[in-house]
Amino acid sequence: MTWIAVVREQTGEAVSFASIAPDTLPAGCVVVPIDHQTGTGERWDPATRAVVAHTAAEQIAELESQRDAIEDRMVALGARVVQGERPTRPA
Amino acid sequence: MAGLAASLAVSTTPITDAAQDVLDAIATLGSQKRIKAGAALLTYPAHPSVPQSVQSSASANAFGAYVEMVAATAAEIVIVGIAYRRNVGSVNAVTVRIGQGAPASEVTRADIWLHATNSNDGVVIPIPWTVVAAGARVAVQVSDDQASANTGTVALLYVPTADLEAF
Repeated sequence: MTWIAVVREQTGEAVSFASIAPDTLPAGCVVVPIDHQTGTGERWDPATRAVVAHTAAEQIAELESQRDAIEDRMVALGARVVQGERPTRPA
Repeated sequence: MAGLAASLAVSTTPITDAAQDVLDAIATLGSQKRIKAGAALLTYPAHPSVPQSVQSSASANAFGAYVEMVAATAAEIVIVGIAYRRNVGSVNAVTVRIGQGAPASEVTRADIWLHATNSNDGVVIPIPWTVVAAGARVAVQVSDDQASANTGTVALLYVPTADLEAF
């Protein structure tokens, strides 16, 4: 089976993966032939415009980034409490 | 009593379109369908394939690319639910969108909002029946409230219309 990715020409961002070619394309999009659409353990790489391995290191880094974002929010909330801020009741 | 009798009399006044819509809706509810004996609820991707991997956008609240669930349905179907599992540990607001049509020209058929995490069970959500014509391409895309491209897996639950019958 032949696969394609419809990709934004400027950014390489994938819009749609398909096993059939479209008759028309949205403005600014191009078709890139690929072996298969993204599967488990894979991701689309806008830079190389290809399906690449979603490595364990990348996944760990993403999880750590999310954890850091949650911690930042917790710290910010804690700071508000320390400063004596009280939650306001809805009217 | 005369007033009651008058109010119970059958009206011969033509009903409005809006009233007809209500009656049609009631009639639809009263003709719920079931899967015929010997037929089955099916999934895209078809068993024994694993659910299709789908990735959100790297931008928060923006959809990632559509992934194809079926290139062309063999017959008219009704999509009756989705199964979704997220590979990310944190709880995120997720929208799973079902689209129909040619690549990059998909038309939204359903948006299903949920809070999802990487629970082992994933979630199965019944949705209002979405009829898809024979030969149609069906694809799915996902957005979440995170500024990172996160992956999950998705499957569609469907029944061919011909496999349905009235109760």
